[in-house]
Amino acid sequence: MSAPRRRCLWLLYVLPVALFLVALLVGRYGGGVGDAFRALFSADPNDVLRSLILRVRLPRALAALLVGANLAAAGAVLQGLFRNPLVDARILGVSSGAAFGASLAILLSGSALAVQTGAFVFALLAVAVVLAVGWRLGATPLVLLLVGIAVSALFDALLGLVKYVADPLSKLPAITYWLLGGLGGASWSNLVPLALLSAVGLGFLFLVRWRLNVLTLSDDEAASLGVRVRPLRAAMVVAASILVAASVSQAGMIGWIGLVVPHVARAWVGSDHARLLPASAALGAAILLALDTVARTALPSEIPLGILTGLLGVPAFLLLLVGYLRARGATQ
Amino acid sequence: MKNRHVLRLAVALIMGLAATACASDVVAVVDSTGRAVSVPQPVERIASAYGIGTYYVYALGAGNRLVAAWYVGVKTLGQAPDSLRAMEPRLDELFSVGDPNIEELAARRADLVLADAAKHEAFAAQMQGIGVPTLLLAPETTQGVVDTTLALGAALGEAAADRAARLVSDFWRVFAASEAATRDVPSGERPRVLFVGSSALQVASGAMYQTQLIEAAGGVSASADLVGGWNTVNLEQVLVWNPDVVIIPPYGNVTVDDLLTSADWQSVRAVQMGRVARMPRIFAPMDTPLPESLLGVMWLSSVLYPEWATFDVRAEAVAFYKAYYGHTLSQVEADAFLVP
Amino acid sequence: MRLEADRVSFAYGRGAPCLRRVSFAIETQEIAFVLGSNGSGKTTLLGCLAGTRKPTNGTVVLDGRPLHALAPRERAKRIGVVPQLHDPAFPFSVEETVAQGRAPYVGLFSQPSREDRLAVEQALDAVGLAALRRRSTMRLSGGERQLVWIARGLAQGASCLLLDEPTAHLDPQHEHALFAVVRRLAADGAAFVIASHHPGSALLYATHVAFLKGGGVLRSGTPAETITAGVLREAYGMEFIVVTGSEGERAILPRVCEDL
Repeated sequence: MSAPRRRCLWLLYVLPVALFLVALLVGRYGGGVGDAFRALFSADPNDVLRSLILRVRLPRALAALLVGANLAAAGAVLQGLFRNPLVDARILGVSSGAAFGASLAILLSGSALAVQTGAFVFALLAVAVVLAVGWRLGATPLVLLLVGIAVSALFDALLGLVKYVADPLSKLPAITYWLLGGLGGASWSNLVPLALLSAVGLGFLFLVRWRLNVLTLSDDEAASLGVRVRPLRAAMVVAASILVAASVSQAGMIGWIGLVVPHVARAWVGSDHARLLPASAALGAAILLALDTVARTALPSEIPLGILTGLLGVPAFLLLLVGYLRARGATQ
Repeated sequence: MKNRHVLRLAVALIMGLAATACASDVVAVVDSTGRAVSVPQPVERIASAYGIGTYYVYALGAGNRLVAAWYVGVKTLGQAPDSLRAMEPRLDELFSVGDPNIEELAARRADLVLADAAKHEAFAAQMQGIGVPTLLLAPETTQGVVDTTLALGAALGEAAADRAARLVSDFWRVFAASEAATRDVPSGERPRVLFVGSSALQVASGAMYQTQLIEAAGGVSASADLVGGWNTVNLEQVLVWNPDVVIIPPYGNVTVDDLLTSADWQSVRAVQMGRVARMPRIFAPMDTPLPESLLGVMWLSSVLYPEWATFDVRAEAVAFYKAYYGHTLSQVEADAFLVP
Repeated sequence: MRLEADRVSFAYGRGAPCLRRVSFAIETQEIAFVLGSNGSGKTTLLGCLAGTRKPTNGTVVLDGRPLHALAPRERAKRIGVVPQLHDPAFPFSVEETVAQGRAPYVGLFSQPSREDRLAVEQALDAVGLAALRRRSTMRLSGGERQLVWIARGLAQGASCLLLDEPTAHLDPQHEHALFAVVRRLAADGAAFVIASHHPGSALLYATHVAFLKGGGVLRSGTPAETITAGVLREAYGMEFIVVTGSEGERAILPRVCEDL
């Protein structure tokens, strides 16, 4: 890694911390940042702003941090495992499974707990099917990709069925709104499962991050380097899926983070996954914190987070694509 | 405003008289989309594919002529309130849900169809095509409620037209009384009202009927600057608005106690003052643009200005349901209109 | 170090065998060429020697022990594979690519240690790529990329390196540079098995040669013994002339027929 990049590495890790503070201090209620800062340290238990910061903004900021880190890290891992820089969690059917599970829960029950559980369970079910079928067929990236596409299509169809039978006055709008993504439902109670799952998934991926470099080689090359490819690949797929499933069940469908952030991180710190994984997580956390602050502050009503990531993600993706093609073109 | 509705009254009566004087018994009715629809008289079989329109039919005393009906807020027969069952003994036969089926309605030989202007344009065209007069209705404002009442009255015959005229004059009486009572309250002192929807963080926009009811009752909508339909907001925004009163509709999934005891909502003025109320419901939700909404205005008025008692809401409700629906309110139902 | 394939046969699934009772051996400081036309089984033989393909019959033996008795990690510490030239999926730097060779030494949950970094440095020096260590492998020429993979094999600690058609896309100067490195490393103690389409290179650099045809060994021995017009005719199905220059150097020319 060249010297200039190394110098700015500290910035990459300061960014999420800074944006976390911003998320705590900025909002539609109350005066400016100064007031919020003072409120944090006030001893008055009835201080509305303090209560708001601790009960509402703080769990939401933590959720944004975790979801952003999870999605970006999972995206980096999946891009490496599939040797394809255009891959994100949708590939394995995780998102489609989660969307179906959440919509089914909204249709049948509507309670927030049911929705989260439904999303999580079906997300992992989708991955389990992909792995089970894929394993029998060799579990190579191509096989997993193709099976993943099939499973995604299945859950998309089932989602269509749910939307069709849903009551257009109350259930269907709720489903549509959930699918657009948002962190409005974040609270201390539903933060706990997210935090635990994030710790497990991110912890595992963090520990094996160097080995991912070897998994980006062809199966034969990796085998010749002494690495048992199939079990490790499956374990990493499971870890990435847990991160995505936990994030989607908390925040709905938020796209583009898993696809675009690893690329930006790669441009910043290089391709070595030992650096790329933590960098992606930090950058994903920073971006989602920034976007969520906009989502809950710019307008009186909540802007769905999925819309903001889409509006930002598509032009970013196109820019990256141009840069990527230019870099490859330079070698020819 | 008074002159305008006297004029409309006159127009409706004249049209009704003209219709009876005419050699061919056809009434021309203008529906909410501005189309003039010829309705041959008498209308004996009504199909109301518009869940809101059905209650107009009952209010005009034409409920016994229904052959198929959709009911707003009732998605399955199991959800039908007891009061509805009591008023409509043929509910099982009439009850319909989902998209209207042309062949089914043709099989029931409807000679007038009411449809939802927002959804049923193609359906209406097809019904007109097979010769069944179809009215596309969309009463979105108080004026719209009045116009729809008069139009249906004209379409359904003389007795219905009379009922319509009385209903409209009651409507304006209530609005005028409420306006007169609150005329001198400066806008800065009017209670700020947050009207929530099916969840506590879903709020009504300024464009919705709920806002008109609030303003008619002498209040101000806290979320008036929102646009579109139902908006989802977060708790922070509710605190910014800090409403004086929170109104929960009959179809809301949160109860008054949920909000009063919620730790998150403690800092909201309405919760601190205990001014959270849930709209009662007899037939249709009273925040929908239909005749019962005049009771909604009265009830809101007693919630916003309890010490003034501009209306004896309980007595008005008993009289209203008796006069227009032939329904005697039970004690429990009548007491629901009292604000604690 | 002695790596030996003993009457090895291999078939993919139920298909026709790709290797029929092939015996082949390589020892320290040897440069062995495996020649033959497409489909003759060269790559498969390399796979069996590396341990990534398990023979359906016969055994591969490393220093007296069956190769498959070794854990993959132990195998990787002794035998390195340099694959056919391809574009890397990600723009890893030269240094990062060579570091991948340390996989057998780095624990599942660990990062490379100072010892690992030292091994990477030594490998880079051995092939002469230390100056390019930060360059992305996507920006290297074919020859340089092959050297990176050789360095990776050295970082593995491998004493035997298997190269699959390393000069297939290289121009003469890069081919020569590559073989110069190979020769130097062999002199320092490494052994090389090179699958190739170029019998001419074998004439220049090999210490011994094996011709494969149809999965079986057609002829093996020293270059002088095996690279004859007769063997070439059988191996490739066309006529060649083997010419000897004034200083004893030999070259192969295809016999071009002028049927006009």
